[in-house]
Amino acid sequence: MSKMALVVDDSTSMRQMVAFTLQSAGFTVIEGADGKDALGKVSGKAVNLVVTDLNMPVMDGISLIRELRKLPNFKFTPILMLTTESQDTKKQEGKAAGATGWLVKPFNPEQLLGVVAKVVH
Amino acid sequence: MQIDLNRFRAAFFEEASEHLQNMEASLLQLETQGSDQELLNTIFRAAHSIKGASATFGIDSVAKFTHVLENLLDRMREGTILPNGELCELLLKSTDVLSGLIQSERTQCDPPEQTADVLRRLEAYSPESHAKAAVVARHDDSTLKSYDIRFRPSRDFFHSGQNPLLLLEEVKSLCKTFEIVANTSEIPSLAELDPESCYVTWTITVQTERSVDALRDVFMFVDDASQPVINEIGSATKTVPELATTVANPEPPTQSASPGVTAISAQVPERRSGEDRRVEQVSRETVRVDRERLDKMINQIGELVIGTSMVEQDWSRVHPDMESTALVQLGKIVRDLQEMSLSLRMVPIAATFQKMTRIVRDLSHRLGRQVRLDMEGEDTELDKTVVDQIGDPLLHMVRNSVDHGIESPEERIAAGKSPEGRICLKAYHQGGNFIIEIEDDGRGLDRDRILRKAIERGLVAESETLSEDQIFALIFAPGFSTAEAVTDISGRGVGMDVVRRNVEALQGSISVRSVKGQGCRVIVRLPLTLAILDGLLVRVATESYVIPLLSVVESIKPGSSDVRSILGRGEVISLRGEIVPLLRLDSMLSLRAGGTKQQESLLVIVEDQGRKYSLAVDELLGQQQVVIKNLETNFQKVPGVAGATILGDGRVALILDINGLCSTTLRTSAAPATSGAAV
Repeated sequence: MSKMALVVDDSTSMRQMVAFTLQSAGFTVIEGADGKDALGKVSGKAVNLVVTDLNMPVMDGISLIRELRKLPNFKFTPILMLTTESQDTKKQEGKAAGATGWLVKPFNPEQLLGVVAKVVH
Repeated sequence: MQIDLNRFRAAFFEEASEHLQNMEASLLQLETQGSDQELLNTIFRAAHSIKGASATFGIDSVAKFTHVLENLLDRMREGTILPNGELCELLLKSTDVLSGLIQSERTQCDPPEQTADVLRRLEAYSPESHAKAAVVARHDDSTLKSYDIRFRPSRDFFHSGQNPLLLLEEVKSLCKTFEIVANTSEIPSLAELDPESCYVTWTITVQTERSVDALRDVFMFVDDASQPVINEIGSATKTVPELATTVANPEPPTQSASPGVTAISAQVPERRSGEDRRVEQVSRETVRVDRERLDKMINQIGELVIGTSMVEQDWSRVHPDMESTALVQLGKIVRDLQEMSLSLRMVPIAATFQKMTRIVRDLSHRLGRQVRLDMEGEDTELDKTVVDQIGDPLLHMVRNSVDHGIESPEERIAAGKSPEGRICLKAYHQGGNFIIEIEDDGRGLDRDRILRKAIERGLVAESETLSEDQIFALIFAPGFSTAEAVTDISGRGVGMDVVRRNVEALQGSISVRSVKGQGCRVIVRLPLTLAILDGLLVRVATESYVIPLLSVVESIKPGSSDVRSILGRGEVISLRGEIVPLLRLDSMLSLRAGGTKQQESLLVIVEDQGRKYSLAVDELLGQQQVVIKNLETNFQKVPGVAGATILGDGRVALILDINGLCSTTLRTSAAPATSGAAV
């Protein structure tokens, strides 16, 4: 069975890029446009990896990470957050919320897969 | 793996334009309402998003510009820089430059001229700290060194999604020699064991050519309490424990050490302390689809409708007395599907209207006018193709209203009006049409001046008597411009005639109403969609034609005495006392050989821009919705023909372009400005 990834970003182009990269690495991808949207789409599902943007409307990435960690299925799931260099405080906040790691924008597909390899078997 | 990022550029461009629109709208609001945290957040977020994505997709010009812009916006958001008129102006200019930069990336044209200038002014507002300048290059030592690594993950290590084994594997991959000892002494008895906790710790001795930083980078995601302690063996200078380093070492990692690992920066210089606040925005659930694919699908569904009618006809031929319930059901589903497919192309006009706010603001500032722009019915939906193409004509008309319509405050006060002029954009559905109205309370059209100018330009003869409507319609005539001098605001003599042509190209029509001194109202009538048409199917000789139903007024069977010839101007009929030109479709379309004269069997009265024409046909076959197929894609443009369609029985019928047909035939007699598009 292929590995499942949840990709959350309100920017369509970024989401598509991350999703496409993960798909070419063999993941099945669920996409979410914001935290709330993503939560609705993964309830009850087993997901092997979450990649989420932080700055999103409706429900931001930090809240999403907090909510996901409350779900039994997501207790140990690697969660990567996408940040920018201007969001150093966010990184700490994300860590505290339960994020596994982060990627600093801009990044390219190779860098994304490099980080994914660090957290997913 | 090589992934081509170019495939995402199109999505980025679209997304960026949306962000820019939001930004512009918020800036305009900011300008009128003054500082507002929510607005500032929205503006910042838009710039932030554009920056992130453009940098990712390698669009450097945009990334660089948004970076500087974001810096300034961040300070505004923090309250260090307060918005004022000048700043708003600069920010609005920045959105123009950005949109120009995006356009230049998209079409490979030159970037906007003011880029450097605006960039310089933005930088002047918020000089960037030079903290980031020092990018320290760290090189791996090529000599082999030995390290002692003690890794004690915290108990709740698993809860952050970490897997210690992956980390240990990675360390191993960096080292020449790797010896590891697992310490299991802390694992409690089974009764006390919490399976979700991590009890094992590791001691590793390695030999590596990589730097200690490369080793540390492996643990970059690991929480502070779980950071390993790494010491060089046999070295006098002991490395500071990792815990301290995380806080104290804000140095960005090098790109050189180990691609894919260190390239992801763990610690980046603190360039600003701004906290990103969440911006509440109504999220619309949308899926972006390539337009070509959508059109193909809509086309295919059109074919499906035709296919279904063909099956229905076949059935009724074979079983004339039997109705197939299955077929009826299928027909209904297919038609529902078609309706649905057409609604897919519909988008609200709001974005197009929104752009006008900026135009009105800039223009009125420049001209010293006070203008308020109101909008109604922005949510009204219209075919995306039409929405995209109505922008320019609309822009032109709004400019006209500000430039020619609204008077200066002094003039307005003298005329007993409020100093602030009002322009109102309205959109609504009426029948099968989408109507846009541009109304202003300015000086209105000057009937006498228009007439004088038209005579000067030779557009009408001095002797001609024209109704008020006909005079106003003259402003749409080619070469007619009421501007006293050519300004860069109202364009270079290209005026309402270009607007008219654009509207007509969309199968629409345009008209104007005005009361002198009270204002002017331009009404643009557009079809809801360009893909489908309600038509009247008629037979002329042996051919079938479709007449757009919207231009059909009535059908009559004339008496032979109703038809008269006028020397040199063709034939006319008398329709209840009204004289209407008669067009013989068979001769116009060269259908009947040998000059056999058509019987005046039936006349279809059509109306085109307020003028009636009668078309002689042989038979009315019925009324039906037809899917418009473009003739130009496969053949060429044919005057008088708007397109073709495939009928239920598989035959092809041409769709008549009433405007083209009537204006070609009656060019000699019709007033030049009264033509308008049908449909």
